[in-house]
Amino acid sequence: MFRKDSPIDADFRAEVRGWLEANLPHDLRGKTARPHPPEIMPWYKALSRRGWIAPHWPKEHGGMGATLAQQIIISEELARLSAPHLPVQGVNHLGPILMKYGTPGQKAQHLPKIISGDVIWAQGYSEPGAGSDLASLTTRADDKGDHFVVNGQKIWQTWGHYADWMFMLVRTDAAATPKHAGISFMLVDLKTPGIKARPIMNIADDDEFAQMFLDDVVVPKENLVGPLNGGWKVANDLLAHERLGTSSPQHTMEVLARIERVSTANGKAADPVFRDKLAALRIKVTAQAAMFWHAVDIIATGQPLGPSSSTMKLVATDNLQAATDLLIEAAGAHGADAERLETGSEPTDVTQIFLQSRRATIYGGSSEIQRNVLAKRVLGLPG
Amino acid sequence: MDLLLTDEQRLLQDSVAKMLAQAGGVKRTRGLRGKDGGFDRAVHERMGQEGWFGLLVSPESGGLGMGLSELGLVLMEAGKVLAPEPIAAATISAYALSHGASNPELAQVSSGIVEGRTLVIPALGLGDGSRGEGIKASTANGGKTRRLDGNCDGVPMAAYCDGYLVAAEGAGGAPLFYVPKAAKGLSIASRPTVDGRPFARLTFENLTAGALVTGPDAGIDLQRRLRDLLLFAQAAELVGVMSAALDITVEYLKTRKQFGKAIGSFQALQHRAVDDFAKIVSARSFLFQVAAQGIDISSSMASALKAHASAEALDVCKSAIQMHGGIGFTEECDIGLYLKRAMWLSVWLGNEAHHRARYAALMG
Ligand SMILES: Cc1cc2nc3c(=O)[nH]c(=O)nc-3n(C[C@H](O)[C@H](O)[C@H](O)COP(=O)(O)OP(=O)(O)OC[C@H]3O[C@@H](n4cnc5c(N)ncnc54)[C@H](O)[C@@H]3O)c2cc1C
Repeated sequence: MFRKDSPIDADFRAEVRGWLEANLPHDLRGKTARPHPPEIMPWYKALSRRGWIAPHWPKEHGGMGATLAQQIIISEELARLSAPHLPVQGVNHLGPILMKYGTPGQKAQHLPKIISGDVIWAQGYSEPGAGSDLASLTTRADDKGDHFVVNGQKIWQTWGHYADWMFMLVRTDAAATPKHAGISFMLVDLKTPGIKARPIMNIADDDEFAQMFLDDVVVPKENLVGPLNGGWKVANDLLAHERLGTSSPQHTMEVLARIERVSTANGKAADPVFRDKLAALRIKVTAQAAMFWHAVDIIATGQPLGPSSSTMKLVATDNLQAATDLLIEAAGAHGADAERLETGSEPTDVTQIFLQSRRATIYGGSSEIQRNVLAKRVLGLPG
Repeated sequence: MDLLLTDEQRLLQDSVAKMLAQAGGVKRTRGLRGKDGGFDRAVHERMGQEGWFGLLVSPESGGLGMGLSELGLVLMEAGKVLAPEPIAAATISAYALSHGASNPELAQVSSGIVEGRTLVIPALGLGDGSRGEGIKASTANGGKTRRLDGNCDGVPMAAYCDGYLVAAEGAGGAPLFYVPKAAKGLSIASRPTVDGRPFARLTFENLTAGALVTGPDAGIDLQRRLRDLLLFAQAAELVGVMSAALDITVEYLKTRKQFGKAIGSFQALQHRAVDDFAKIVSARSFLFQVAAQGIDISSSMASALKAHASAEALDVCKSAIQMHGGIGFTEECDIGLYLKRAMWLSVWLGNEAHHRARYAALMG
């Protein structure tokens, strides 16, 4: 996007492109919702066998240890073919956390299965009464000597009804002040007796998430990650990784590709007013990509990203929604169609992705919450 | 800024709201989504019995002889509860047909529409010839029969009505024809929408045209009038949609608690809600100022109004979802239905970009 590939990187790009074109099944391309496990996991495993499921993980944990340029190339090439969204709770969120806070036993037990795709993870943070105010969560884990007993409810777990394991935040000290000082981070095998999942349909009619009911669920003590009552820091560290993933320009680039297909097929691409809007958006996305890869560079040097992940999430999600707005506009009289539009070689969905993109400013800390954080922590404003 | 309504108008507004609530409100709409056109013919007929579809028809022709302000009020109420019946299409078709009432066939169709028994949908397309669209009228048999050929996209609920008012070109003008659904040479390709109410592409192949609603000379005006009235009608529904979306949201802001207080106490959300409120108030004023100019609506104002109402309604509905948080992103929460209806209304007969361009062209 910003510079020409070096000869080595150009070779790598050619290798990635060639392999993806040959191996990414056609019916997985251009999907808006994440395909269900039986469809998507074979692809996850194929990427894993090729060694490309975790470009950003160090080699010692089974990752690729890729350079920044290589990571950019992989993400651009995946966007180019409209590759489907993978389940990321393991590879993008929990993995880096276990590398940092996990015991040797936890790393050995869980990291290889994240890489291989044998275990799908869910994120058990939110509760009916604790969304933006996550620290007020009430799901309790009572200490019973060698294990905890967990009771409570979680909600909005992406793929909670498909997942094998869940990492979760639980209250281990009811009296703690401030409230976040009484929270612990633990891992639970979702096959444990006492766990029920109720699937929830999202606005685009996709059974994306679930409500999780936990009744007297036994969790072994060795499943605690980080110190007892020290879960808040772990949780926030993980959320920073989540925001980084949300900020990837890949998501918006994928929408830009759809805008291109739709507007080429219906002739709007030739309209100067439309081209101007598209150019303005492209420039914003380029600036976003610059910020994103800058952040990845900073992380690669081992420095913490701090609240910058909030800045990136705000910019990225605004751009994503501006892109889906323009996609609907490009579709013209077909901007309310439930089915995909005929756009040359492959059909293109416009309304599902428009609806799905509402999520971006809500999950992983809503835009309002990100602004609150930045106003206080970065700008140093009072209150 | 409340609307300055007469007692009669207030009565009309209340009776419409009451009837729609009794019929089942948003819950009813939810249940109809995606089934048989997404609306209820029996309810549609009841609306006819209430007199809604004769709103713009003169009393001599069996209507109420009211004006655009009253139509705006009815459609705003319909928008608020997402009533799925094609009220705008019926009301405005009845108005157009009453202009051809000297023809006995049309007079019968017209009274059928007013009574809610017959459902006629205007098939106007975008009217800009995009993508080879358009219906050509030609004469055959030495002028005795007229034929229609071509296609028209974006006709709502086309497979679930009885006929269409077709905007054609040729035969010396821009005539408007009544074409029954059963006419030979007509094919209907429906496609589902996010709103649960289908759009269709009509294709006319050597179709023997039905009654001409007006002659070729007057035809231009009536086609245009029909389109502009429908744009006004959509704006009215969009105003209803966005005002209810905000009302629902404000209620939620008062009840949902985070950080130990109602989320409505956070200034970020207060400002957002107020911005949305201001959008609604100005769109509503716009609507009723245009209404006050009378039935002879100007095309530039109709396009400006449609463009404005579409943009604002989409924004307000997106914002409403945002203020709901996770629950707003679910299928089971009604607020998403408001966004989907706003999408549908903004698309029918041209989206914001389309009408900005039309407005610019008309303003010269
Ligand atoms: C698609 C999707 C996937 C998700 N996946 C997961 C998952 O896998 N695991 C999980 O645990 N959770 C998940 N979530 C839940 C998500 O983290 C919460 O929805 C989010 O934290 C917001 O909480 P809430 O839904 O309770 O909204 P609320 O907190 O009730 O917020 C409602 C509105 O109030 C605003 N608001 C709240 N507090 C303030 C304030 N102080 N100042 C200004 N505005 C405020 C919010 O910004 C929002 O607009 C997911 C959510 C979505 C939409």
